[in-house]
Amino acid sequence: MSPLAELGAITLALGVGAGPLLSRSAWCQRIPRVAALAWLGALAGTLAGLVGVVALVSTGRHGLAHRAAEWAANCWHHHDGSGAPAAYAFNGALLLSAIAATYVAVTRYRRTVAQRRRHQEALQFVVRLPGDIDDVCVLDHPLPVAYCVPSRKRPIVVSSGALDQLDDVQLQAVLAHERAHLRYRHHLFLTTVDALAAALFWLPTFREGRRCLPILLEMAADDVAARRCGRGTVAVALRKLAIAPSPLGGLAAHSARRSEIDRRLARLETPTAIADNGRLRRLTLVMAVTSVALPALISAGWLAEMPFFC
Amino acid sequence: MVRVGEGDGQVAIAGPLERAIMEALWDAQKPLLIRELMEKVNAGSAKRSAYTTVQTVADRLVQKGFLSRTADRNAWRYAPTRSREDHVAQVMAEALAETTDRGPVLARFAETIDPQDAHRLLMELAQRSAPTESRS
Repeated sequence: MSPLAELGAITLALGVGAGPLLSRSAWCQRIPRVAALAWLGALAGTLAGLVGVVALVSTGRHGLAHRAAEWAANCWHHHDGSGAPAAYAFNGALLLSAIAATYVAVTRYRRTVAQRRRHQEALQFVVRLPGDIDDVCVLDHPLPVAYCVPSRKRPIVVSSGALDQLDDVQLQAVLAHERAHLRYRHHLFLTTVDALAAALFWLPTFREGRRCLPILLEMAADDVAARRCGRGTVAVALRKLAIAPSPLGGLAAHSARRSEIDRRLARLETPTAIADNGRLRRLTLVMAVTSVALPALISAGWLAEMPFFC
Repeated sequence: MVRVGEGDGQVAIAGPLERAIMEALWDAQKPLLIRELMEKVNAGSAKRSAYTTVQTVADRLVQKGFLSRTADRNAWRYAPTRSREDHVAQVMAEALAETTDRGPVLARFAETIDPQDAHRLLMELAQRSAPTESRS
């Protein structure tokens, strides 16, 4: 099999097969942290595969980069290499769509970041800064809400309505949940996936990833909070308010078959619903690394072998 | 541009002064000249801000859409584009806009408010839905 065919097969398997498979897997909700790693592997691997395909086609025998090198090498002699118009046209279209996809993704990402920054600016005029907790600001509003806005000095926003309803332990659980989002950079992951999904909407893995990842990361943060404060406390706190990941994360609203909060409560309140499995975790890690490394190695091997003047 | 060091290496751009300006204008209830604004801002703070500093920051707030300014003879008068309450409501609406599960928050809120407030809220909602229905 030629490197291009191998790369195409891997990209297709990851981009079309892996996402739908993961979104249907029942274990994902039991171990959301590992599931998020599996998603990361599938998404990054697909992306690496796509980049590799574009690179290989462009530098291949009938690629535009190859053609350009040929021109540069042969222009002294006033003759050019064998022409293959259809191949060049295909390559040109591929490069153009790669540029278009990059543009869409970058625009989407920047829009999300701009919205988030604007929200931060609007927020800073009206929040109170409690002296005893140094990463929290309080918004005076009766709706019980807690969320985090990354990259601020006080990234966690808690409404006064939420403070009224939560006791100390429940508040600690909510803060542990938000701090988990911040520590593991969930917002960065989600914003990136959202931007890429906008550009690569035709790949099921990106579509499904954008749909499934938000709740998986919520569950992962729930688990961190549950380890600190107990599952019961997290469940009660969840019932009292909506813990949003970060507003303006660019996450498209989607209609869950069952309410998201209900799904999160169900797993916190059923003892068997949360399980950690060392073997599954190691297997997922290996799979995730392989998904990214394989396309990268194939592309690198090809480029290393390519003679500069042929 | 006013830059205020924040200890941990991060730099917040004119945060405190922007906030002081917004608060002064929300409290004033009427559009203010820079001179009046400067007096109010400096009255509540240990550090004096210069006229031009207040003007620069106020103009940036105009650019960002938080303030509006109107000409008054040879000077500008500044006013917030939205009341404090509207501003908070807007921030909260943004925070909720991306939450996929808004139902539970609103339900929880509905449980906690007292009957008089609930009645007032119902009236507000009725008023709000009336014009949209007539439009459609």
